[in-house]
Amino acid sequence: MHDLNKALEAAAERLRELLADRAAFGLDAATERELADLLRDHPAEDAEAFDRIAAAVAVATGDAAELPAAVRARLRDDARRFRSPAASPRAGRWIAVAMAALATAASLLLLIGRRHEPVAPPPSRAAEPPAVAAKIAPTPAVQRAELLATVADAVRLDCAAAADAGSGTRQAHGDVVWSPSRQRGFLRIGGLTPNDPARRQYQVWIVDGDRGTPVPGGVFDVAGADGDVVVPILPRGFVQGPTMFAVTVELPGGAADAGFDRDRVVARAE
Amino acid sequence: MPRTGILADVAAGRSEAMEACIAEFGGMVWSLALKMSPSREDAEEGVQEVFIDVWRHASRYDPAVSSEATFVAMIARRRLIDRHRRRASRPLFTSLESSFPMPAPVATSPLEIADEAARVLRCLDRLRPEERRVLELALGEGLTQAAIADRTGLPVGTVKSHARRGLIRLRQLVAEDCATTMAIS
Repeated sequence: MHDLNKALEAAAERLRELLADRAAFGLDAATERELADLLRDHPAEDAEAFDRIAAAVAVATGDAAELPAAVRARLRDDARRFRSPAASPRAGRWIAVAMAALATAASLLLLIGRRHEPVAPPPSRAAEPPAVAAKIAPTPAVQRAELLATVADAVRLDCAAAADAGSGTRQAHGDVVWSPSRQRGFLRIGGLTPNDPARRQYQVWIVDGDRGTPVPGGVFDVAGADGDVVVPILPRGFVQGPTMFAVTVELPGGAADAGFDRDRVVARAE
Repeated sequence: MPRTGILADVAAGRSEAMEACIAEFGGMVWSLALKMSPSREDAEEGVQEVFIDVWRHASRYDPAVSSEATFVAMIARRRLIDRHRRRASRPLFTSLESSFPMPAPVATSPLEIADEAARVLRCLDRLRPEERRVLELALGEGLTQAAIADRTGLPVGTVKSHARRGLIRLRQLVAEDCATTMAIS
């Protein structure tokens, strides 16, 4: 009985240690699992007590900074979308078009044996808030935010205009979010010149480590000069270790699988 | 004086409450995000994720357990620590860091410090100096264990043990302080 009590005390002490560690600095995945096991054995333990103490210290000893106006505006957009999850007419239109485009692309791929580029859904504006809680089919901007928030290996890379990009795209800026485990990602980009889809389209490429040929990641259009667009990256084939994401200007439908001409690169992330 | 009842209003779906939530806690969350993020861009994304978490979990807030600011700070720290952990576990790209200037802090009137914060400060004073110092750096300045080790010259293991022991002791002291206050009142 004495040994049992000692073991129980040791487990309770270990539980408190891990809860304190989590509150101070966070835990790695293995220790998180150990903590979860201990919490299952100690259901009466207040699992948030140390988190509250740590937060109270942060509040008491920290300071408040002025929230930048741009961030405040994005939060207001998030709030508006959060409390009104129903799709706006404009969002609904985009989603309908996107779903139709995806369905069309899937049908075409089946019919022609994937000989053409996958068709990306129309871009959504990044200014549209990442309404993670929206109960509608999520826009690419929302999916991007969710990928970042929920997938452990999701990485974000800054995207900038290529050094020798034409004058119309020198202001290109944005980022790429990519998850190796999910084999999917999103390009958020602004500053690109609007394109006429009948004449030119933008195409995403993934330069994959030692692989000789870049992997096509889908084509997209930029409809207006204002704001950013968010487009899904749809790689054709498995991407082992991406070293660069590039955006090129191509003929409608995108370039062939053989790769891209570096002169056509308007933006890249690496 | 800070407004109270914001989180209950958010949970009830009152339209103006989320705006009030941003106004009341935006500066605090932004400050935490700047301290705990490697870049300003990362901090901006972190703030958006934090507020979505806050709105989602507003119904869990219990005024008998903590102040609203502490509840929001708790959610913020969790989200920001999680973002840090995810960055640290990324094998492919590790050079996302960029320096950015910290904005000047907004002065906070001591009168606006809640009882809870005053209690925590009182109890913090009763810790061993090295434990208090580590906790102030970790929780007040948002430094990682490695950054605290660099700042103080202590081994990382010692930083971790000071933080752990300090928090465990602080929890006891706060509980005792609460009991004393209740007995007096």
